[in-house]
Amino acid sequence: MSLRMTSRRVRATSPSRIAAHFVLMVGVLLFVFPFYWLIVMATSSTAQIYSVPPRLFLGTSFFENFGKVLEGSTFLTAFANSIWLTIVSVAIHLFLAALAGYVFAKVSFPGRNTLFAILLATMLIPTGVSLVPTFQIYADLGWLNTYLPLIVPGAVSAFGVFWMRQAASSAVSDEVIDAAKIDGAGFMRTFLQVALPSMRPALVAFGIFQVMWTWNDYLWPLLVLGKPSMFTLPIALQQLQGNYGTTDYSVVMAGTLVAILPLIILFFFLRKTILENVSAGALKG
Amino acid sequence: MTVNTPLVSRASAPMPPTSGADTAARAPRRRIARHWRAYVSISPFFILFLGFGIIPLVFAVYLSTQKWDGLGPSVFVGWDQWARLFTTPDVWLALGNTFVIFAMGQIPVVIAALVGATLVSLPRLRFRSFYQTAFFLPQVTSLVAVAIVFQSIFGTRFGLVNHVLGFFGIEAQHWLEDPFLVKVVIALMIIWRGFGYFLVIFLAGMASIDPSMYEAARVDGAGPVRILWSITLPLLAPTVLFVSLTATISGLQMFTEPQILFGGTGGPNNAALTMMLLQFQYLGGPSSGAQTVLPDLGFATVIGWVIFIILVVLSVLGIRSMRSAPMRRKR
Amino acid sequence: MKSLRRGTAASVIAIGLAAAALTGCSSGDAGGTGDPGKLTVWYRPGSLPAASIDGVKAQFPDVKFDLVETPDLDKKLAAALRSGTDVPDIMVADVLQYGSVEDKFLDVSEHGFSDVADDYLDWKVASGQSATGRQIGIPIDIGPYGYYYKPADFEAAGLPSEPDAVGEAVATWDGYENVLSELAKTGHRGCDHASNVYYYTMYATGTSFYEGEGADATFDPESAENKEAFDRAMQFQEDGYCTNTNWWGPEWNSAASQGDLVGFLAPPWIGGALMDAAPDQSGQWRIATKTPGGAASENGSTLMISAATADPDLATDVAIWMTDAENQAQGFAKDGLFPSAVAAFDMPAMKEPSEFYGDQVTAQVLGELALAAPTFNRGPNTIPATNIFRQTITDSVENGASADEAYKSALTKVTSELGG
Repeated sequence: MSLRMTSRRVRATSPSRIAAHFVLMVGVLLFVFPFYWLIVMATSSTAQIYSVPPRLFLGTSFFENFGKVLEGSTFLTAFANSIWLTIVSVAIHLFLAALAGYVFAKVSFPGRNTLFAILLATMLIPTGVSLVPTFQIYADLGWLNTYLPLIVPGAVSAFGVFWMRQAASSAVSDEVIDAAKIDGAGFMRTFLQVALPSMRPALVAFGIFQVMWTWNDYLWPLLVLGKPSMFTLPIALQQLQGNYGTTDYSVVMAGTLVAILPLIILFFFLRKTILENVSAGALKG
Repeated sequence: MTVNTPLVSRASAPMPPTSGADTAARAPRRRIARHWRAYVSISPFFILFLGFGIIPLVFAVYLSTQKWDGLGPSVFVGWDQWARLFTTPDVWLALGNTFVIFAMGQIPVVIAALVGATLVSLPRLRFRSFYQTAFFLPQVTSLVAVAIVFQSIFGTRFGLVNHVLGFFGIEAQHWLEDPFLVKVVIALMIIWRGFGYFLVIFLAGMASIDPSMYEAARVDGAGPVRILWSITLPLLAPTVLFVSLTATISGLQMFTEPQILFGGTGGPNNAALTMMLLQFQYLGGPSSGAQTVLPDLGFATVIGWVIFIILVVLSVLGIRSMRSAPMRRKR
Repeated sequence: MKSLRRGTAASVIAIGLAAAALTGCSSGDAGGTGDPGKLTVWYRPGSLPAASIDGVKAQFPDVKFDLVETPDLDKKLAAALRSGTDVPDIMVADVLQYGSVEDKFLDVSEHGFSDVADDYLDWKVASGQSATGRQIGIPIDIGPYGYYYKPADFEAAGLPSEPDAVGEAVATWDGYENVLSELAKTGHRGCDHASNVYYYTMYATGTSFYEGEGADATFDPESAENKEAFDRAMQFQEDGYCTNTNWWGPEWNSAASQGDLVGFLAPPWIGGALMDAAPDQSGQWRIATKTPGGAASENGSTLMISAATADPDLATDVAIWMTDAENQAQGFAKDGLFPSAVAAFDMPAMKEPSEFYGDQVTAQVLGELALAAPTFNRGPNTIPATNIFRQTITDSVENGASADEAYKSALTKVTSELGG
């Protein structure tokens, strides 16, 4: 990130900066601590977790714990299933949401505002009660035991369209679109090559969230998937629970840790894109 | 500097101008037909919503007139389930809890994320990537783990927090039993989990702000606070609005944090019982060790409708108050 | 980050692959019901003996098995029953929970179970019957309550420390209270949570809140036994005899592993949790030979069979085999599932000394108690009502309600929610 400063250059170690760092560090400590403790629990044995004073150092039992994870659940198959399902459903979702968002933001057509208001209104509807009839619909469509209920109904969300519309309206300028039209670009071409690149930070941010939600989705995969070979990761992890309740916490934690590693890695690589100032120079000049 | 994108030349026909000047003269059907690409683009959402949103909703209207345990036959009871709202004290408790927890958790988390996004976006900030990743970690931590970690940290007798408080001579607090403290813990969970989420949204929004705006301001001698107030916030207003709206919608449907902390019961003295959790109980969600009511999907549906009505009312009020505030010119 | 063109192409390809894979992935026969020679079995992790799961294919080589392990089985099952699709043939489920749709389950006494019913504990067989008397549940495991304690701390408190002696000491409620009070004087606790004492008493007295039998049973939450159990639990709580930590939580685990909790009444799976929470205390625990006010046992799990299964006799045979004495004994040795098949009590696996319990043959102790447990006539309101009373006791730790106030509020809630 490079903001050119012409005057009033801020030194990286000025007092206000130090204050900012202090606040941020405190925040980081508080936020990272529970996660750190998750790692502690994942690398210790269950007994070590309950000692007093509470154990704060990393243990050495990670591989032992993870071995039990592999023994006690269909972890690896589920891992592969989760990856596949996440990639497919997020790709579809991003595309459709970005397309609809772009259209709502940049294309004027009859009924646009009304339709968008309706879309917004759908976000108000609570979802708890639609569980029963929705499952019935899947059953009637013959979609049980397939991945279809996990991909199709969620293929585009009001939240996604809302966000993408927001992104399109602030990141994609009319001038650029007009320039593209003058150069002879058609609708889809304009969308793909002018709008999407400009929407990239929001697209990536939203994409990360979609990946996360799909990755961690538990309820619908549980209800819809019948064969263990189709299970996704959250369901497989639940198999580590005992018959009447969890007893082996360290094993559950070890499995959880491995399950979230891909998300952390993904975020780490993509965070630059979220911050990168895509519109730098694109609009002015 | 123009965007350097490869564009098709003569091959495809240019799109017709979308100005309204001569469209008024055409018949409406041709108008709609001309915009077919736009309609097709937005159709997936509406089609899916029709199939998987409306139809279940219609069923939910029907369900609210029934008494049904979810397995056997359902019985028609008319308005009884609505009347039941007034004879079930837990409903009002849940309503109150929902709003209190919302105020204690959802509001601070949005504000904190805004402040955080500003700090993390400061130019030439060292350790920036470290901060971003660190704040995002809670978002990816699975709920089972979060529950166990928070129970361990806030346990009354053996929790970490009380252990630390002990060093300062402070008495052990009943974090997970006292009705108020339980809400504090849940609010902390909400803030902990939600911060990274809202942070990322704000960061993405900030990234769309043209840096030359900042440059111009700095040339004029504006300091960081002034920039935040006069440039960042106004330009971020749509994002803030978006965030507030979604935070409110999801905040009033708060369910996950209380549920994982107390396994589907409402917690001690139902201190953690929110409306959605109550609905969950009547849907037959909790395991048999935690079940304190008989499943009744009709009543659960009605509870859901109550939440819906509240959200609608709040949205209408929110829109009214926003109309009076100056808005950015729409492009 | 790839260039957008490649990104677009990638997503198009992905969608195409998805479409192809999805049509291929949809398996029309993941549900076994209606398909002879194929059986689907749903079970929770650890709810069936590993020997049963591993051995069933070898035992019935002509049958194609689909063994599905998932902890949230009840949600899946409810959804399947509601929609009528993909109901498994055999499942681990609670007879009471599906009472309103009991006709969707097979009456196994008509398909061979009556021949073997005597092999199981009679109260357990009875618990597998629906309100109309149909035998829809086949016994798997049970949860006999034992009093788990640490002899060293008992001795330090001037109490007996041998299992027999401790058994005698706690066999009456007065004796139990005395034990608790002596322990409290030394700073230890002989009870984990007052609501568990209440819960135990429900099982010890067979209180189900129902008067009468079968389909004529009426729900009456105001039983005298209930009040007595409730008051006693509240009393223990006010006197501070319990650690106020409940099962399945980090607090309980800490209480045990740090030596605060030195005695508790619990079913065997909590004994298992103890072994996980405090393995370094191996050898320091025993199980007393008696429990207060008689013997008690939690119901445990049952196998149920779908009425729509293609071959009811076969399904019943499989279910009976999976729960026979041999497998149940293995289930005890390896998986901590306490058998309900009486013959299992005499098998070698149940006569092994348990290292964690100082080489005590715990199976024998619990077996005796299991045989003496009362028959329980539960109905659909039993579980919610019990939980409401339990929760009220737990709540009173914080809100300081007296026994009478708490009882009244619990009763109000029970009657308004459940009737009666």
